[in-house]
Amino acid sequence: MSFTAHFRTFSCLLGMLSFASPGWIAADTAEIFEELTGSGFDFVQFNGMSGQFYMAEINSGGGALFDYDNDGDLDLYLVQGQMLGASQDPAKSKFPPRHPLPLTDRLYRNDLQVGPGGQPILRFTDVTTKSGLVPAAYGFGVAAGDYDNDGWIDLYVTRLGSNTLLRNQGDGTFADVTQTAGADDTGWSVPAAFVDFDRDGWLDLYVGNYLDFTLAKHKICRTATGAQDYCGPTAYRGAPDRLFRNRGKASPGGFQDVSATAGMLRQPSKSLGVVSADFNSDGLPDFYVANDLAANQMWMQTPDGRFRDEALLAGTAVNAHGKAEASMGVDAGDFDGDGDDDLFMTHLVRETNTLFLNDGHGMFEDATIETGLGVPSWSHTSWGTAWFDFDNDGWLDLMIANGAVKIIEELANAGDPYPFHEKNQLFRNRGDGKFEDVTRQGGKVFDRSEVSRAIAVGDLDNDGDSDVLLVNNNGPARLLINTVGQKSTWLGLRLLDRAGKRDLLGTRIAVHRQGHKTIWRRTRSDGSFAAANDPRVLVGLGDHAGPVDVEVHWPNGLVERWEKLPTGRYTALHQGAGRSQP
Amino acid sequence: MNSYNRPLVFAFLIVGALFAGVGSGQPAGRFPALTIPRPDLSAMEATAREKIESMQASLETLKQREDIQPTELAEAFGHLGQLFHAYRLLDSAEESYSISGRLSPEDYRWLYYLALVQHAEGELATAITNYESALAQHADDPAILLRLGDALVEVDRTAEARQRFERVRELEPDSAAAYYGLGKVAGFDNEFQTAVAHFERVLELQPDASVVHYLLGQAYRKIGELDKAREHLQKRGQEEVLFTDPLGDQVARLAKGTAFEIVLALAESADDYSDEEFLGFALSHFGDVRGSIKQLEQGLNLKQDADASADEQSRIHYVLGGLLVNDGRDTEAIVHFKRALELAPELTDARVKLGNAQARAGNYEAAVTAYDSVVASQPQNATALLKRVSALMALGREPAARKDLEKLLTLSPESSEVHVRLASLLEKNNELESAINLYLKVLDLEVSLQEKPLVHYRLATLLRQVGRFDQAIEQYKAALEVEPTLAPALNNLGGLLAQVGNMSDAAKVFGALVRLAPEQLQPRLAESTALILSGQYAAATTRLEEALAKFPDELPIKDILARHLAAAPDQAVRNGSRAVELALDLFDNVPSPESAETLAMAYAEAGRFEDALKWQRQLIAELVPDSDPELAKRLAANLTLYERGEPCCAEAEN
Repeated sequence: MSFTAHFRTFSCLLGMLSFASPGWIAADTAEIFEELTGSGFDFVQFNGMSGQFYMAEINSGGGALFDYDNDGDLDLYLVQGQMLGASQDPAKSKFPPRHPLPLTDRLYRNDLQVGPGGQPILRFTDVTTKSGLVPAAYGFGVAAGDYDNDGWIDLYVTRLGSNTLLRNQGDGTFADVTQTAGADDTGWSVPAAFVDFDRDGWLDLYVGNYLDFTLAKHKICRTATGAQDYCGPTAYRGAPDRLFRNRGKASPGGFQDVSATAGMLRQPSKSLGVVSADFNSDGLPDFYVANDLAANQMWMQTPDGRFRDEALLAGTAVNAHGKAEASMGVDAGDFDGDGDDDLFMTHLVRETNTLFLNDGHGMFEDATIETGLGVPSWSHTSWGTAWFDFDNDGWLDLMIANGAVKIIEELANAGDPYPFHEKNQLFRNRGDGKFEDVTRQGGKVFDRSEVSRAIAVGDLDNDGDSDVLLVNNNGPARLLINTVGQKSTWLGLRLLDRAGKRDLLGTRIAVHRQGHKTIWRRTRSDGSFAAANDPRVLVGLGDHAGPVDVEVHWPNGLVERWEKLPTGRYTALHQGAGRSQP
Repeated sequence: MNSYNRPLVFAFLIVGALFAGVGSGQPAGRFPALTIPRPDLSAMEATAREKIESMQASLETLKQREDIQPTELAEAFGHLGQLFHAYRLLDSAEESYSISGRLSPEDYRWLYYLALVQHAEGELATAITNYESALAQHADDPAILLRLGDALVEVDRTAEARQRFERVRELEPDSAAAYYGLGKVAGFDNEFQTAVAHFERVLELQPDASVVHYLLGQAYRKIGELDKAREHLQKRGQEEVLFTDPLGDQVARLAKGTAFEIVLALAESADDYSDEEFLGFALSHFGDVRGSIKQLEQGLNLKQDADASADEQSRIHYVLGGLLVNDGRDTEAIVHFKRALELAPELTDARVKLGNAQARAGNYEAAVTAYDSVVASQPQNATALLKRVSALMALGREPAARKDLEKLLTLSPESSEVHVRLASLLEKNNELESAINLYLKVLDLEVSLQEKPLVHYRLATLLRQVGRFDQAIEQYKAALEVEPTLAPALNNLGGLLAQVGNMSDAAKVFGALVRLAPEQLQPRLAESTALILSGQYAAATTRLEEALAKFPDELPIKDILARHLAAAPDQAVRNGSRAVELALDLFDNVPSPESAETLAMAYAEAGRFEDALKWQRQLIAELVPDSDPELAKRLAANLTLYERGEPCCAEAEN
């Protein structure tokens, strides 16, 4: 039994210290996350706040974790805002930018090194200029995936206006190929996800559109006292999402807009979050779209490559009271260890966040209240979120990024110049169907009150636990380095195609340990809000000792098995290299 | 934030503490320790700010009074709390109610309001405590029981919630809200059959409570009754389950009143006024269009009584007109727009809206007159010009409409709508090439995804009309690329492909149309014919049999199928006996020469040459001489075949 597990038992026996020092944290660990400082990472999001209350200002803040240079560690991509309104001069903003002009998205290269004691040393270098990134429209979110199968991860950046498909040219630079690839959308897109929905070996692209909004359509909205405030989503019409099918070999690098055939065009949405998984276990990837104050959509794929929105019957369109909520971020993961992906999504203040429990056949139940996630969320407006096992105990935990969109009365009364900030939250999965709020143990970074938006999860220092990129609106982005996870046993996997070039997003992995429940995970970079996650799979194994067996369900339906995989390190599994399973 | 627990227990001590300042050098008054909540008023509308400041000032004065009683002061703080509550300043409302509760701990109202605010803020533990305290003082109050039940459900204390809802049911056996709560509790406790019974009862008691349908649908889903589940899920709506809540209603009424004042204040503020802003605000605070209309009508009466300024009144008439339009009441709207213009003739937007309402009411001349006035003063008002085009078109005054559209084209060269409207007009005037050019221009402009396929479709149709078939085909395909279910495009594309001899692609397109409209006969006939003409005989047989199974009484299918089975060039698909069966049925229904010919062909294929010869000879004998030389020739040729004991030729089929 590891020290961590031993301490848990000890603590339970004492029946104390449940708040001050919970049993699952080793005694020498005061904080779950430590904020990385002085690393060269200095991104500050500029929201273009003009005083006109343009709705886009308050919703922005996105970023990605991805290995752009294939050196084995995660680099950072941060999406930048622009000045909105008649004055194009950012200096005239209420909060002028803290980066030199012109404002562009930023790319930070991870120069991870190993210290003399074997400890990882994280340093980041701003390589924006070298990478060829240029100013573009006001940015929101980002999706990451190697759409052209050349072994280099590409990016799709969503914007207010034309989106940007950035092809990674493999030499440290990116080329804007949006138009030639046929993957543009000129509306207001926020979430996006790369997924091979037609299982042809080429990543397709889902783009979520938020509102039919342009600056020309800007409306003035007010509180009940007549004071001007940001509008809510009901002020504007929704817009249909787009599904771009990769033309694959037939036309390398090109996409075909199949939104109409697939079904999305007929059903406008107010998308802020999207996640793809096979929700009804029929072998076909589906999409779940989180909509702002409108019924959410669950696009179940049919064998002919079309999609049907089954959310209403599936029980995922609205909450347990039948109310459409203001959904923001969303993630899918098997939190209860029953082999299917459950959904967690974040909502506005005076609504609860919602956990939908999957029955394995694509039918869901709202389990928010019984899991203990309802009450703590009521007083927050929540955005980015992710299922990830921060303590590597084999159960998926949750982090939630918070920040208001309407003026917080208490802060305004106190004269706060930007009265939207809130504290973020961290919840630990107890493994018995309930979550405990461990925000107070999260570290000093959880004491900060900020206007947080995206979070992206990944192992930045390759030490076997999940770190977090936190992106704030009108504030500095932060890196939260996990200090507890690596103390438990872990298994790191990269699921690659036969050529060993591309992460096969959507692959499902069953990790078998003798005497323990099977753990199911999925390769993904989507989910959360406006973010892209580490595509590697990190499986916490608690106090398990020795190797493990892994069953891999590839997106094309092939099932393979690897036995006695080593723990405590990352292993690349190539499709076709395992033992084929019936 | 303040919270307030167990007031009865601590009331004495707390009230004592509030008096503590007396005689200790503190400012005058009996309650110097009480702080009046002072939220930031700087960004508020003046009417709200003044109202709050006035109430705060009165309270300050009251506080200073030496003879003030705690209950009197509690009342005043409570009213301030209600005002904050109405303005949705919930922190300040909570603070005010909390003070009232401390000053007058035996008055359940302040505890209830405090709990309501805490409930809304998600402070469920304190809300539950305060609901319970309120209930202790005002036993069996159904509204408190129901709110408490809801809060208990939220914290997963369903057994206690059930008790509260059951109590309401005992007190008010026909309370829809009690059954609604019981249904929710049953659902949370996985007693879905019970949940169904309760939700069904809610709908009996309050049929318009559409919010219940979702929960009922989900409960049906969970007991496996999927049809009923779907039925109720489709009926899902937002109409809430109602219950009597006098205290809650007081705040709701106050909220409507304050909102109305702000709406009027906005309307009166010429610099800060926009129609959408006003409408949005009114709708969000009055709840619905009709509620807003009612409030504005009442407000208008008040203003008229108060002899308000013309400008002030005109704006209310204008907004009221807008709301009436929103409610589909154009005739009434016209009255208000006219009145607004009488009071303020310079209100151009009102004139445009008057024109719109007149047009919708079918008064096109009056609409044109209204737009004329706008254009006279604002020659570049694109909205008025575009609206005038519609009215002029409705009156058949196309040259005038065209003139306006041409002017608009210079004013708004990037407007796809103007291009499309002008192209339609040119098309109508048979100026097809000009129309084509305009549609092509539209495709270079920013066109929404919804509009794009229609532009491609119209363009394709025009190109087809002028004989530019290849381009027409491309445009139909472009339309279908964006909107693959655009049936007219599929139909026309199929027809055009057939027209240019591309039967194979035509068959595919018609096949797509069949899948899109399986209940339509024509696409099936078109697909089968195209399959036959492209030599896909086996596929044609399958499609025709499918069509016949779907439409067993449709004779054209029988005719084509019988001939196909009797005479297809591919021997493998021929089937004489089936052809005879179909041809006999056909002839029984339509004893025409064509049916007789089909029957003869079928007999021949079935090897029944005597029958074939009999029918063929009869047919030739009855043919009017020289009426159809081609037919006569074909019949004779086939007769020769039958006489030789050979079935019909492929040419005969085609």
